[in-house]
Amino acid sequence: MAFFMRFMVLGAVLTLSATASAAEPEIRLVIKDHRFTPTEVTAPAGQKLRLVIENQDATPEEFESYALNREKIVPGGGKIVVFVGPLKPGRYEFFGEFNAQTARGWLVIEP
Amino acid sequence: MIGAAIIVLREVVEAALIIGIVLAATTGVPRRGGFVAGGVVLGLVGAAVVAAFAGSIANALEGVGQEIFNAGVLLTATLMLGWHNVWMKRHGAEIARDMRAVGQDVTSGERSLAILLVVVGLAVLREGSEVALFMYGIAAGGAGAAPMFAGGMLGLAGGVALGALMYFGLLRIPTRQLFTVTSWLLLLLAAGMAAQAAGYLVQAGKLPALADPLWDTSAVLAENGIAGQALHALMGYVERPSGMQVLFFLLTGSTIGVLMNRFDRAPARIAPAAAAVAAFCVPALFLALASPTARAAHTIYSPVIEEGEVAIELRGHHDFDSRDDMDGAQQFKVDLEYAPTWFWRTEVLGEWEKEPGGSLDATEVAWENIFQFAPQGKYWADFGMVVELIHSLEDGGEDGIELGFLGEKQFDATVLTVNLFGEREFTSGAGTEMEYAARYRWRLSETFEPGIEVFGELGDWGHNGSVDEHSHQVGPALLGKVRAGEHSAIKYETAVLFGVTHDAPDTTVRLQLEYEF
Repeated sequence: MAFFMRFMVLGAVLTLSATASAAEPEIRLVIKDHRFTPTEVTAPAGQKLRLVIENQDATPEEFESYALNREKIVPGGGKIVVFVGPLKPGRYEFFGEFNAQTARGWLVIEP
Repeated sequence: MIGAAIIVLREVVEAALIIGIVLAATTGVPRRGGFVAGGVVLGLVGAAVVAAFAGSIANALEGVGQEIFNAGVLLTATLMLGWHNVWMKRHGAEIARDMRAVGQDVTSGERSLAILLVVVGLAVLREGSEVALFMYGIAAGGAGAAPMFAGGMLGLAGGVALGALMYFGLLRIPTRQLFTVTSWLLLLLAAGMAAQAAGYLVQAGKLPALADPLWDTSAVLAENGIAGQALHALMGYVERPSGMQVLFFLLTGSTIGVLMNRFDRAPARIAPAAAAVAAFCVPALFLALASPTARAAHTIYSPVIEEGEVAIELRGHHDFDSRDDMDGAQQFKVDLEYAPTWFWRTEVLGEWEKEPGGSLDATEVAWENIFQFAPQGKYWADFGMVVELIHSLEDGGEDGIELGFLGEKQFDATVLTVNLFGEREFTSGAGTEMEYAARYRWRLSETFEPGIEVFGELGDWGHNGSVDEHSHQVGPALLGKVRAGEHSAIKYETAVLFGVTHDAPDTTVRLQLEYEF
């Protein structure tokens, strides 16, 4: 009996925790003319972040950051979501792999 | 309605059988009728309390988003149904024996009549609360209240009638067959509930659809027709299922089916419907016996896929050992890989092996698929799986499948990757060889990441044997990525592994090179 109740409660807790994580801060980045705008964005430390990257160029780009351990294609005219963090305070560089000369930016995590 | 009827019927018959056994074993004991009836009433009251409690949890969760809540209830009911099915296979006979023993103790005066109240009450309580829980599952699947009530009543009437007829000896249904049939129906029901849960999670954006729809059978069997509705209630049939729904259905159905067979005392005989489900998915991780010929793979897979990546990869290792029959063994794999989406990477590969003192021979070709379960970093850790179909090129070699579960978790500048594999050949009586691999690496710089790796074989599933017969290796590793132009790069991984158990080679050197276009 106790087994059933524990299961029911576990299910309830799991569903609650699954929905609780939906509210991470969102950061928007736009790629245009092979550049990121803004080139520097700030965000709080110790929190999961949701980067929404919109590519307004016709050509694809690859959002890449060794510091953030992320690599993801952004199709031409497309939009992607990249989840990062929780991060420690610091400057995390990212760039567009296909246009690494111009497409560069920083995610600044403040304490 | 059909789903509700089956569940209630099954639970009522189970309770009725227990009551019937107790009654049969206490024939002639005065006042037993009152105690048994009292037990039934107490059990029903308890089950009603459980139902009310489950209902209050449902109310408390009202605000969390209907899709997630429904999926949670459905998955809970799926787990419970599956567990119940497997557990009954294992303990059904024991329960009957225990009940009979209790009845005899009462008859011989060794135990008081009050025990009848307790055992009957507990049996009714257990089955009744299962009914309550499973009904919430059916309701979460979108069934209306009126048909559910009608189905429940139908099941109740049928169950009581069956129980009474069997007790009075009017009907001799072999209970074993009755339970076999209802077990398979419950299996389909549980798989259907899991598929519906997947549908809700996809709708809520918590899971990828994997292909939406995977197929469309609206022309063949309309979902709102009578047959379609019956199949929907019975096994969650939908006209246009997403790939994720089909995956949930197959994984749930085959897992429960295989576990049921495994825990059945008699030799397994699989019902046709379930055989089709199980055969489709080959849940290799749960099967047992015999020993495969393939050697440990010495690869660590990350669950993280880079969409659009095209690459050629070479993996190899060389063993050094003081024993002649182990010294100088080599293995090489060459593969071509492509990731068409963020959650799927597919590759074809060839493998060559050199036995100690032998020559280097082509041993197998394989098709490997890696699935990433959620976008990287979205949850606490990243998870995925690898499915590899292997065709042997050796004389007398057997084809097989390898399934692996992949996990990865980043801790600041370090990353822990863990793999657990099961490999099995497609022959009857073949066993599932369990293997693991793990790496903890420090992301010092892109070109230079030191780490530590462990690899091991755990023997066959269910026949693990002693630690000395297992092969465990551990050692330092180095990996990194060197850019070779605008879009291309070379990734390397190398490790020196030392055997820590008797059956492991003294030293293994492994090297993996990948050229990304």
